[in-house]
Amino acid sequence: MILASSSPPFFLHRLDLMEGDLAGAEEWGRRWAARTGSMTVEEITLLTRAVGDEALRPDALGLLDDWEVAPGARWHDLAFYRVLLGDNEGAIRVLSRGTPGGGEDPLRRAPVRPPRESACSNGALPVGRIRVAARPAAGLRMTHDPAVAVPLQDGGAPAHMIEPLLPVVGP
Amino acid sequence: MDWRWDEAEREFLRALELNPELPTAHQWYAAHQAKTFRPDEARASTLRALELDPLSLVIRNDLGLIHLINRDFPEAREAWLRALADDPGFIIPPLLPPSIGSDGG
Repeated sequence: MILASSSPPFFLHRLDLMEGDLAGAEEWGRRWAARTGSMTVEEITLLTRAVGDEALRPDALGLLDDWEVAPGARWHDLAFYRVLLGDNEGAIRVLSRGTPGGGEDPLRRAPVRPPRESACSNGALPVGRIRVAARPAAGLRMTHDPAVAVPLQDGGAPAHMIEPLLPVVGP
Repeated sequence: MDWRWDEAEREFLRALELNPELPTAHQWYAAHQAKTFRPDEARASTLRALELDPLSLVIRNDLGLIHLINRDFPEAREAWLRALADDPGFIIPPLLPPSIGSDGG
């Protein structure tokens, strides 16, 4: 299944997840999934509930594993869920790899964000601590051609271009 | 794709010089500013774009993201709820096949 996100219901789902409102996140997520078909209602429900229920996390992480190897998977969405599910290493792996369908390659000639002092209580890397290197970091290698098509919206909708790399996860 | 940020900056400024009333120019310049870690400037540009085109749902959607980047979570929520209030069915559809980098939903 392909992850896709750029519309208010999905953003509200993510915002509720970040703020710990799992009921709200599930409601927005189910609405978004039903409307777009980008994932099933059952899938987004599993991901949402797994954030608050460790017993569901293996299934949720397995779902993300499947999506990670599917064409078109969006690396920052995958990383977002992995952080929320406590899989920080998996999130870093996804972020380090990027995917052609992810909208951009994080390790190719992107600007470097100035360092920030904030830190996440759960140990996750906040946005400001993720340095976007101009070339692959030591131990990493590029796995695909960096050429990526940039989707355009009618009238211009660059939401996909400005979507935060990995929002800070709240306490 | 090569990331020629400086060249993009010049082109955006030229576009705005040619037509400072073009909402899309402000909107896309905001995306560039956000990508180059100038969130305050991105917010100002997005607000200017919305001022020029107050009915644009895509710009209001972007405003939510800009607020999110600025850690203004309540403002982000308000922007997205406002977009949905204006059009409960508002969805940005995928325009490209996933195999070449689609984005939508």
